[in-house]
Amino acid sequence: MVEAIDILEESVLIDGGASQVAAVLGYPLAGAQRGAVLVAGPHPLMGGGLQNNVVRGVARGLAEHGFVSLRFAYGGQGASHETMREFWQTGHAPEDPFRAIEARDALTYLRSVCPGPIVLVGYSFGASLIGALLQDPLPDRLVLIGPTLVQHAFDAIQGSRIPKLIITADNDFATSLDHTRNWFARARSEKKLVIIESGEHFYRGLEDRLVAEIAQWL
Amino acid sequence: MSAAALDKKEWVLLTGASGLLGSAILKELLDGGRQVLCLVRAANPAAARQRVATALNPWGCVAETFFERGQLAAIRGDLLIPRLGLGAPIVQRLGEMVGSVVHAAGSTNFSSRTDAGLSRTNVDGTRLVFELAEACRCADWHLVSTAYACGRCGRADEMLASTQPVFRNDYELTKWTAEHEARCAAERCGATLTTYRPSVIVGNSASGLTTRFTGIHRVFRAVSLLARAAEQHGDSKRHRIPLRIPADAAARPNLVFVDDVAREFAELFAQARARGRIFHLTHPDAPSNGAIQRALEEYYDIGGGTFVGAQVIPKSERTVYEDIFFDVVCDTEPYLLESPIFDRTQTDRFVSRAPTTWDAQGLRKQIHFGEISGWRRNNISRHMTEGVHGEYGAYFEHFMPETHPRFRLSSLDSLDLNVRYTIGKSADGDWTCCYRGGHLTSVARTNGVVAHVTYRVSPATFWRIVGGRLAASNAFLSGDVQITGDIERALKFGAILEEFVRQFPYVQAEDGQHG
Repeated sequence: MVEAIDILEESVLIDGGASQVAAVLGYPLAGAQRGAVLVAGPHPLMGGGLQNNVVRGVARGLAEHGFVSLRFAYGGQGASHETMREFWQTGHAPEDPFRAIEARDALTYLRSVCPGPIVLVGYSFGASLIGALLQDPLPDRLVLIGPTLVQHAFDAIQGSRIPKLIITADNDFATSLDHTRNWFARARSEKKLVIIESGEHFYRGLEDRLVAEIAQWL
Repeated sequence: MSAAALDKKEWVLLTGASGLLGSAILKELLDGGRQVLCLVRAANPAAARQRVATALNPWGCVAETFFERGQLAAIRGDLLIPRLGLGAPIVQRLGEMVGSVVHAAGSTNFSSRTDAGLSRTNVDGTRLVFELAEACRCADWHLVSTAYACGRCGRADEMLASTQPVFRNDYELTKWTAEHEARCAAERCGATLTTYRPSVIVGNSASGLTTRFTGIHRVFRAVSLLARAAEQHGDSKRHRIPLRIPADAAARPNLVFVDDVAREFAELFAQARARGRIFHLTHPDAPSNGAIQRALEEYYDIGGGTFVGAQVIPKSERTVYEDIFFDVVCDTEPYLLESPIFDRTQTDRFVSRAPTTWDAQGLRKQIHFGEISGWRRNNISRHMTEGVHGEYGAYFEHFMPETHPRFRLSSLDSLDLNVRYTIGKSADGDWTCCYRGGHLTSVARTNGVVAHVTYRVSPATFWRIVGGRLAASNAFLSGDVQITGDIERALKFGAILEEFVRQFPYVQAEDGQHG
């Protein structure tokens, strides 16, 4: 068990290919660095942002466990009529592909400031973005928290040989426990499934528990 | 609503549904299974529906339920414009739908001064409504008039006076004229005109609930001010207030409960053999001025008023209390002085039971409701279910319906959702907004509507969200808003709400009204 240590958090602006990405880089003040963690949050139309409780809690918590963490904000402000219509009907927004580009830009930046093992953590919609990041150089470990397995494509993640940790709640509105178990059973590679009992999709008050599960697995 | 439902000529076209009696009649008609099309003044179709929903709300009726059932519809119209401003295609469509026209709209300005607007609304408006009925090939006409169309007389029968009586004011004249013109028009085009004449309408018999504080409520209001004046002046003689009332203690202004009038209307409307008659929807045993005085003095713990009969008290000779009293009562005064005996023989033959009996408790309820509502129509919604939700009401009943049509995302045609907001722990923070085809179709205090999504939120968080100071989605995810129901749709709707707030942040004014 690693004792929690003091961390620093810096706001950074990442120059991406299409746009700038606002992000927060967290790292331990002292001690050895165990690697780097990229945290991708929920859909921007559903509260996915830098201050989301899970995104912030996991990024800070893992920094306290010796990782360099990067959490980032999705771009765009305000929603067009077409965006809202499609989002309401399908749960997808036309701009969703740009979210994967922003994640890739954030990952590129993270690699540049912290060479070494990379862990990708995705929460909710953010978990689905991990599939777009499975390119050379491949990340070392994947963590999926409350993945939206019904709403988004997770085939690339399921088929990859990268070790993965799945954390789900037994009362997650987005994906039923049975569905997650079935998906997990078919996943390749080293894997672990953690079920948070009496939990739901938002993991309110459970942020430390998430950090502990991830840190232990890493 | 199905096309089949619209094609049957069984709809009742109702005017005045946003008024006190009109809304009570609407409720009775709906409860009786009638399909009702309300013609109301409104800026846009959504606002028309909202006006009807707001009018039904005090009666515990959820308009959305009836809208969805295809039993209720609302169209925009203006009584002062030929064909009420309706285009030819709409009139043609109404001709296929409407089997009966009930005209309950009107102005009740009792002022002795000449008011051109009164005549335009009550006379011209009535003529235009029945011209529309004729254009719609509707021959079943119903006119809600007043018992006081009889003018000054000792006894009023349920018939139309052939010669013009002497009236107390222009209001009575315009109602008499409207009755006459409607009768002539009906005869000319072969329609049947049924006329309903209520007397002085007061609030609900059970609770005193009303949405209007004219008529006898002016007297109640005046006495409440006298009581306050006595307190403020430190008057130790509050039981000897120097007030001369120019009326007789035994006179009986004919007060009738709004729910009794609406019930009797509905009973008569349901009977084919009642068609073509005139009915007095009056009270057979209304309280006397003396009984009203006792109720008021008891309620406010004051005394001293003296009935002095029909006499004019010159302004220069009035006491300060009399100044207050007459300033408020003003145009209602003639109705205290005298009231005809209204014959109800015909009405009693057709209705199943007599109006609710008046007693001291009944009067007390009327006074009390006015008092707790601050004698203001705008405050009614606060008290209709014994709560104070003016601030929330200002947001949900006014701001939302007024701004939503301008919301640039308001045409999300697939948005069909009932959203419930439970704000704080008191009942006055419980509201449901219904969206159909992307449009906000009704907003009402939660009352039996099935909500797809419920947001529970503290008052402080609610105002921060609607004021644009806290992102709704962040509030959901951080637990500041508790969600029950369909969580996925709740989150998606949160994005829409967030955009709405971004475009239309709500600024709370100090008095609780939106700025």
